[in-house]
Amino acid sequence: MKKEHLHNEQMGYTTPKGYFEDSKKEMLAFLEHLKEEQKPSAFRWTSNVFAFTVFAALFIGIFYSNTSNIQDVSFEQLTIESLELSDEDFDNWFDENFVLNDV
Amino acid sequence: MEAEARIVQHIKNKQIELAVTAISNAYHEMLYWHIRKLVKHHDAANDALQNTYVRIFKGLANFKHKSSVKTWCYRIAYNESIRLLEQQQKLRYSDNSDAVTDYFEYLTADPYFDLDSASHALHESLSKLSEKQQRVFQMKYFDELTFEEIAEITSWNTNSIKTAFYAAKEKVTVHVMQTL
Repeated sequence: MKKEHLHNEQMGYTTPKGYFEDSKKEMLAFLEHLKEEQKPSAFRWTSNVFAFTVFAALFIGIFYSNTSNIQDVSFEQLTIESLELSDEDFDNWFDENFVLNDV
Repeated sequence: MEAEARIVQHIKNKQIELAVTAISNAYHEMLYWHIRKLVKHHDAANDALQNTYVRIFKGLANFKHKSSVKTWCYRIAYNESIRLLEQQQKLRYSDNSDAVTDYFEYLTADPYFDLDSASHALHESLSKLSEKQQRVFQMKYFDELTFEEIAEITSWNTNSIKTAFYAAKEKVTVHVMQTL
């Protein structure tokens, strides 16, 4: 840039001493850091696998837990229903087995 | 041109880090001054320059070779500067006398602005230009970009850029001559 000096002489813009050399290094170092962050590290890979395993175990646990609950509820409902007896049936059964036998 | 060819070769060879280093060696100062004239404060220019580097680094792998690398970098730097200005809401372009005062107050708030060495006449005349005229004038006069390059960087029509530049040049010349 031929007119670089004009920024100082006409515009009055200045920079800290050694700014261009330092900032060039800093910015390239920042990009290097950014690149490192983007790379999946061995630790991150291991932790991802661990997190996935825990998640899968929880998911399977919850699924089976829900399934057994459904089974329990169905069994309970069936048992209660089987105990239901109409008044008429009960009277007949009671009369036959107790009252008449006793007499 | 040699630097540009080297950068293009690095991009074609998928050597992104080498390409960024070559860009830095060739255009670091140019990009800084381009940004500085838009955002005016040194710290803001430094932030915008860092964001520019990040975008260059992330975008190089998808560079389409539709323009020169230099123009592409300038375009990124320009967009980052405008984004920063919009965030700060410090776009102060007007043609009343208060705007000139605000303009100088804003400039002098930066510790890296040397009021003594600055040309008051030039700054006064710039502060009276429209936003578009100011940007075009600075890119043409200081950065020595061609009208076609400015059009690629700003996405403005080449003819409207020429009109804006000649109008700005006229206003600046008249104002500076009157002040002398």
